[in-house]
Formats: sequence, C-alpha cells, structure tokens
Amino acid sequence: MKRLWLGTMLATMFIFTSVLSGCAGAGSQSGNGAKGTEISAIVQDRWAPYVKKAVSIWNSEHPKQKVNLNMLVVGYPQLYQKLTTSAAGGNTPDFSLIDSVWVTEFAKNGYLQPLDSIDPSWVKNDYDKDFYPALIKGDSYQGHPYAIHTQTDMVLLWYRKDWFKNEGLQPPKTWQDLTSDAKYFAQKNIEKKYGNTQGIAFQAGVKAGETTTSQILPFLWSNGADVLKNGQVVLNSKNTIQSMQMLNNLVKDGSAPADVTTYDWNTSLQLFAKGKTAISVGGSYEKASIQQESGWSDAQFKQKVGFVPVPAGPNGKPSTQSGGMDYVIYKSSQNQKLDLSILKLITGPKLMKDFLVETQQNSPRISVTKSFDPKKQWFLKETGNYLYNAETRPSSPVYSKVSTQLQNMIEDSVSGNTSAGTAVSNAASAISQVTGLKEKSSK
Amino acid sequence: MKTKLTVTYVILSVFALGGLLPVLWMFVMSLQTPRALNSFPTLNWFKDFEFNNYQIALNQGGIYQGLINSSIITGGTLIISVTFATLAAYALANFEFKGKALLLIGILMTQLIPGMAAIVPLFDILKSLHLINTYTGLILIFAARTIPLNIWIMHGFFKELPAELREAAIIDGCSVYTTFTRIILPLALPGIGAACMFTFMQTWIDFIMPLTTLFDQNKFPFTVMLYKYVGDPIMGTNYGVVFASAVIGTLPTLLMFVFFQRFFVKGLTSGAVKG
Amino acid sequence: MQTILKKQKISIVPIVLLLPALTLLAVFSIYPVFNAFFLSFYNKQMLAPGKTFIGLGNYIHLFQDAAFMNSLKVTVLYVGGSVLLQFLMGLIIASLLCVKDLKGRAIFRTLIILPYTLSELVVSLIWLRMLDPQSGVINYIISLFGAQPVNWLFHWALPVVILVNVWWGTTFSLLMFESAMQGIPQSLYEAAEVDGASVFQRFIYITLPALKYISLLVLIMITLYTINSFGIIFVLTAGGPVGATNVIGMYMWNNAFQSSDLGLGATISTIIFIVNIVITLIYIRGFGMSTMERRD
Repeated sequence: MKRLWLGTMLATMFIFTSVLSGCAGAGSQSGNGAKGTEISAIVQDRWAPYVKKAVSIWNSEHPKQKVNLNMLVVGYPQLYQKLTTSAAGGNTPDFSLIDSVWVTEFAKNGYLQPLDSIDPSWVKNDYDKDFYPALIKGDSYQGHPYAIHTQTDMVLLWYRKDWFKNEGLQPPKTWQDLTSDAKYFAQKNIEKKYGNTQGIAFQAGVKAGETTTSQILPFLWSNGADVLKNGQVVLNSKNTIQSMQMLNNLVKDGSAPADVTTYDWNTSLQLFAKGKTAISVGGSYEKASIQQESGWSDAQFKQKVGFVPVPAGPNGKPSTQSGGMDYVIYKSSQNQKLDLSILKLITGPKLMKDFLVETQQNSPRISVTKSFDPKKQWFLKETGNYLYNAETRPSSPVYSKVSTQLQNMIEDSVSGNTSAGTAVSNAASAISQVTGLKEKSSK
Repeated sequence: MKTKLTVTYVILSVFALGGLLPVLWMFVMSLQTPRALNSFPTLNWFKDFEFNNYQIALNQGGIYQGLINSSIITGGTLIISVTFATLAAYALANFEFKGKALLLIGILMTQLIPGMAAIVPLFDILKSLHLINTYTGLILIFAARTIPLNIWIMHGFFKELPAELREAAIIDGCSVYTTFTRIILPLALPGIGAACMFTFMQTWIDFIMPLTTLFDQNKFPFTVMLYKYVGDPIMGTNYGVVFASAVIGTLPTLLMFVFFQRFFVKGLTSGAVKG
Repeated sequence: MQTILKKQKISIVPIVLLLPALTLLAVFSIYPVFNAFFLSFYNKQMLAPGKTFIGLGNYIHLFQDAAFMNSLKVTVLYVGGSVLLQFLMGLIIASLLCVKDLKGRAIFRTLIILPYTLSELVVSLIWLRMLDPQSGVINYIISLFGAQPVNWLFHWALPVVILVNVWWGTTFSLLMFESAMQGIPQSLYEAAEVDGASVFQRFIYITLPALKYISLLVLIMITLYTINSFGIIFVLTAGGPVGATNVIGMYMWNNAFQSSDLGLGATISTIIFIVNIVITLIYIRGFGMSTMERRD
C-alpha cells in the first residue's frame, strides 16, 4: 500500500512534467517557423498593444522586410530590475521601454545607441522639431539624444474648483495662498460642510518612492532651489530649507495629517477623488484615475476640479516637473535601423495620439498637443501649455540614489524626526557622496 | 476529558477562522471593481460582482500558459530536489564518517545569504552553463535552494527509523539499494510528503528568479504574470484582477496541499516503530 | 549492529549518495556566498563595466550610517517577535491538532494553513487593503464598535508587520511540529497516563524531548528566513514610518539593489551572513551538537 503511494506519486510527477514540457516545446517551435528578422523588446502591459500594432503596420507595408516580435511584458515595479540585470548580464533586448529618469544611467554606461547615429535626418527634421525642448534635454546625454518619449505628464496641484468658488477663493498662485487655502479647508465648520477631513494631501515619504521625489522637486524649484547645478550639489540652501519648512507647516497647522509620510504613491489622489481633501499635490497622469475612483464624468470633472502648477515661493516662480516613459534602442542590437523604424511608428503622431487619448496622458509632441480636440481633450490641450516651462528631474548616472536621499529628506523633515535644516544638510552631503560631486553651500 | 476536547475545538476554531477570513476576503475583493474597492464600505459590495476580473486574468494575462510553465518548473524542482535530498539524507543518517555534524550544519549554512544578493552571480553561472532562458537553469537554482531543508527533514525521519530494520534487511541478503527502496523509503513517506510540500510552496510562489533569467514571454510562470498588474503607473494596481489571478494561482497549491496532507496521517511512522 | 555500520564506513556509497546534492549546493548556493564576500571589498555598480578595490570602504560606509544601525535594531525586534510567535503558535496548534479523538483534523489543518498557499506578495496586498485607513475592512469593523479609524501602518507599523508575517509563516513550524509529533509512539503516552501523568507533564516529559531535532531545524529556518526576506515590509510600509520597520533586508533593497550598487549589496549580504552564522551556532550550542546525531 505504502509502496503503491510512492510509485503513484513519482509516476504522476514524471508524466505531469514530461507531458507539460512536451507541450511547451511544441509551442515554441511553431514560433520559430515564421520568416523575418527577430526583434526583442521589453515593455509594460499598457504599452504592449501599440508595439504589436506598429509591427503589424510595418509588416503589411514591408512584406520583404518582415519583423518577428519577441516581446516581454513586465510590470513597472519590475522593469528597472529586469533591464539592469539584463544589461549587466549582456542580454539586452533590441529596444525597451524605460523611465525617462533612468536614461542617463544607461547611456553613461554605454548600453544605449544615440538616435542621431542611427538616423540623423529624422532626429533633425522630426524629433528635434516636434518634441518639447524640456523633454529632449532630459532624454539627452552629452549632447546626443538617446530616448523617445511615449507620453509625458507633469506635477500639478489639484483643487476643488466648486468648493473654492463657493467660498469665494481664488486658485493658489503663491505659497501663501496655498498655506492659507489649505488651512481654510481644514477648519472644523468647513470640513463639516464639505465632508472633507483635511485641507491638503501630499506624498511625503519613502513609501511613495519616486512619486515623492517627483512631486517634491517642484516645491524646491518654485523657490529658486535645486539639487544639482553646474556639476555641484547645491541642495543645501536657505531656499531648500524654506521649502521643507513650508511643507512641515502644512502638517503643523493641521492642514494635512501627520501620516502623509506613510502615503502610498496614489493615496493623495484617492483622498481627493473621495472628497476627503480640498487640495492634492499630484500629476496630470492622475486624471483618469481620479475619474475612475470618483465616478465623475468628464463634464463633472471639469466643473469640480481645477489645477494649477506648483505655486511660487518667496524666491521663485510657479513650477512643474515633467517625466514619462521612453523608448530606447540598445547598442547591442543587430538591427538598429529596423528598431528605429518600428519606434518611429509607435511614437509617430498617429499611434501616439491613439495611445494618449486612451490613457489620458499628455503628449510629448507639440503637433499632437495641437491636434487634440478642444472639447474632448480639453485637459490634455490645456496642460500641454505647461510643458514649455516644465523642468526635468536631475540628470545623474546614479539618479536612484539621489532620489532615495531626497525621499529621506522630506520624510525626516515632515515627520519631525530632524529639523528641516538638518534633513537638508544630511541629504546634501549624502548626495555629494553618492554622486562624487562637490557640495556648494549657497548660504 | 470532554471539556478539554471542547476547549481544543474552540481554540482551533479561532485559529481556523483567523486563517480563513482574510483569504475569504481576498476572494470577495477579487470580485470588485477598482472603484468599489476604494469606496468600501459606501458601495454595496455584495450587490454587483465583477466577474470580469476573472475573465481579464484568464484571457489577457496568459495565466493558463503561466500555470503550465509554473507546473513544469515546480515539477522539475520537486523531482530533483527531493530525490537528491533523500539520497544525501540517507547517507548522513546511516553511514558513519568524520565531520558529519559539521556537514549537516554546513548544508544549512548555504541558505544564509538573502536571495536578492545571489541574483547577479546566479545569472553569471547560468550564462556560463548556457542555461539562460531555460527551465533547466531555473529548476537547478530552485533545487539548490530547497535541498538543505529537505535534507534536514529527511535526515530527521531516517534517523528516527530503528537501525534494526536495516540490519535485518542486510542479514536477509538485501543489497543497499533494495534495503533503501523496499524498506526505508516507504517508511519515510511522511518525510517525503513534507519535503515535497515545502519545495512545492517555495518554488510555486517565487518570481524574482524567473523574472531575471527568462527572456521569453511564453516561458514566464504565473507569478510573473500576476506581478504585471501590480503598480501600473497610470491607473494604479488593479487589485480585483490581481486577487482574481491569485485565486486561480492558489488553487493548484491548495490541491497539492490536500494531496500531500495524506502523508501526515497518523500512524505511518509510529506503525514502523511498533513493527 | 555496530560492526555492520563500521564495515560500510569505507564504502563509496555515502559519497555517491551525497555527491549530487552537494554539487548543486556548491555551484548554486556556495559560490554566490563567496562571490558576495569578494565583491564586498569593491565599488561595483551593476551597470558600470569595471570595479574598483576599496578595501573596507563599504563596511566603513555602513557602520557610519545611522539608518543602518537603526535597521539592525529593528531587525532584532522584527525577527525576535516573529520567531517567538511562530515557534510558540506552531507548537501549540500542532499539539492541539494531535489531541486524541479530535474530529475534523484535516479541515482545521487546511484552514489554519490556508495563508501559506498564497505568495508573500498576495498576502501583503490582502493586508494592505484590509488595513487601509479609508477603505479597509478592519477600520470598518472597529467603527461598528464606535472606534475612530486608525492608520495602522503609521501608529502600529512594527507590530502589524510582525503579525502579518506570523499569520503567513506559522504554517511552517506547525507542519514541522505536527509531523514530528505523529512520529512519537502512542504507547509512550499511554504508559504515562497509566502512571498518572497530567497532560502538561506528558507534554513536558514526552513531547518536548522528542521534538528537539525538529525544534532546532524550525528555529534555524524561520530565523534565517525572517532575516533574509522583506517582502511583507516592502509592500506594507517600505521600511517606514521614519525607519520604524526598516529591517536589514529592506535597508539592503533600498540602498543597494534599487540603486544597483552591487558592492554595497554584497557587503550587507556578508554582514547578514555573519549574523546568521552566529545565530545558528548559538542555537546549535543551546540544543547541543548531539541533537543531530542518531538517537540510538
């Protein structure tokens, strides 16, 4: 009896695995049968259908030069790891999706092919002319463009237009407006009236990761502060400390709860969509999410929600930050011309517009922004104007380390773990250490 | 005596509910739209179920293929890991040689660095063995990861078996091989069951190694498919679909567990001692 | 009997039996350990082509970092709490499942073990949703009793992640103990009962001694596993708030792997390795070397 059990178990396992591996073997063989050049790509779920579309357009237009797509689809949280381990192991794909803040790191270490070396005339006549200059700057390393934006987005302040109107308030233009508006909506009687529980929501901790960095940076820029400038770490300045203190005060005043340091990357938008906060620091990419969470139609959204760039501090002007996902071509690719031809289709005005309209993302191409329907895509058209003045995150081959330090800085400061001044000077010296750049104190 | 049994039932029921309720809740969440999930408890959760989540998980996610791939990887790991571990444990439990205790400790010590740290060196090893993008490479890695625990489990079982059994068999003229397969192995079944179960569970849910070493979408196990829905930068995690995929992916584990649970049935080992 | 065993001492059989397992371990488990040790003396970035020797630079950097020292402290609390609870709960539930005349044993066992059939990620996501301050079911339940909503992962971060880890991980010790208890001859208990030993005495004098080997194994495994993994913390708190749950694994992820700093990652791994060895040796010393040898 016992032996029988063992026998059955082993036999089942054996049959199980051999049958299954047989199936899989047959499956992969049929894939190799098709003719054409194999091109490998690593993308994300939401982008994948458009890559497929572009390849099928290419194949129908070039029957003699068919492309056979080998596409890996991974989630955003795994993308960086998959790309870095592939690169370190010498197994890069032909092209891939990449976060625009990673471009410098990959370019500096020689994994990417500059686009102007593959097709200089396209770069000159289309890329340079149609993409927003701020984005081209962010996608370039040592003067050469390495990446093509698929979409872009920018940091914004969402506010409840209907509530502001009701109370006779103007949208915040300066930090003073922001602080007083947030405080206004955190009053007991006002909260009772609108059912909100806080005046403002913003991500202020390591938990929200890169979102924290990207939303905090405009608060530095809007006060004339910066992280890196002219090859120096300029973070430790009066202006940065002022920015941190302003955010601290939002919590001290009771305009925002102390647990903003534990917010996830989309907590603020959820609170905003649920009517729990009057103002939320967010990004233009959140519109679709806010509508989904709140159930507001486009018309309702337009009536209830207003947006402004991050307001001006005492020493600066309103500011926003733009990022987004890019495509890059790897140096190891054997078919760089073909890769770029496919990418030109994906990021060409037509497919790009379909993608942007579907996902409600901003256009990195000026011409596509212009072509948006002012009624249906009013939001993308209006916010598109901010892109001319947008800034991009500090360009550094060790960007993720810099970003981690900025997240620590804001978490330490807002939580009261250290004073704003200490948090800033700690972050500045840590960034100087990881980047190897000298620290410049502009006090 | 009766009250003691009642107390036992009560305590066990509390623990059982503790295990069950969050998992049941996951099932309920797998039937919700993203909006309902974030609006709890204002929307009526039990009114409109979103069965669409399962459809998305099954159709678009490639979960079928993922489950098949997971089965191949896990099945291969089970066979290699449990077989190798059983052989090694038998040697450790029944033969005397110097440094045996040290060897046993040493085997456990191989599990002393975090898995993350091993990713890059393992990638290099697989590359030099030409095993990148193959199930074989993954299976060997998982086998190496699970062998130490399996050796310890099996060693524990073998050393509890009375030496008289082996002695008698050898006197009866059985070879080492037949003693092992005919007498020792059947008695160690509970150990093999336990080893299989732990190996299965560890391998089935891993995702970092397949994500790193595989370069073909059709080879990804279901865990990598599941992670695809986590942290979408545009719409956020679609928890409904993630939990629906998790429910689907958990069914095989549950079945395996119910299957291997038979080996824990009382009497297998104690019977041996009596006999 | 001794003579038969001695005769086989020179036999090649044990070597042949051990060889496959040891080969696999050497290639896939031991090599990465040495690799980490070697790399810990270098500045090696994942994407940069070369590496530079910096001696103890990585180690010095770590021990000067207040966040690292904090993570050591948090790790002790997290691992201590998790291991203690998992060990005791596993032991208690296993003994209850072994009670004579218990009906529905398999159902109880299956339900209690249910969490273990889920992956760490799914477990974390379930609890993340349940603990959500706004739309979590736990705050809903306590609101039925008139309590205010609590941000669990802000005010109770460390206890909560320990509990989630215990909820998921107790299965391992439970199954280990139960299967070991199955192996204790029933006749021993019957004899003790005849002699008038109480349930408690039987547990102390019969069950516990028989569980020595398994206890050692369980302790070592759950300790190592808890130190080496951080999946639950990664999803629930990412180490926050302000480092309250920043265990060493999480610290390593944030400072080394998220930033692709292989040298630093290797250094932290090596430190974890040394800590693990020390803990293992303490356990083994506590239980006695003889625990691993044949009983007869």
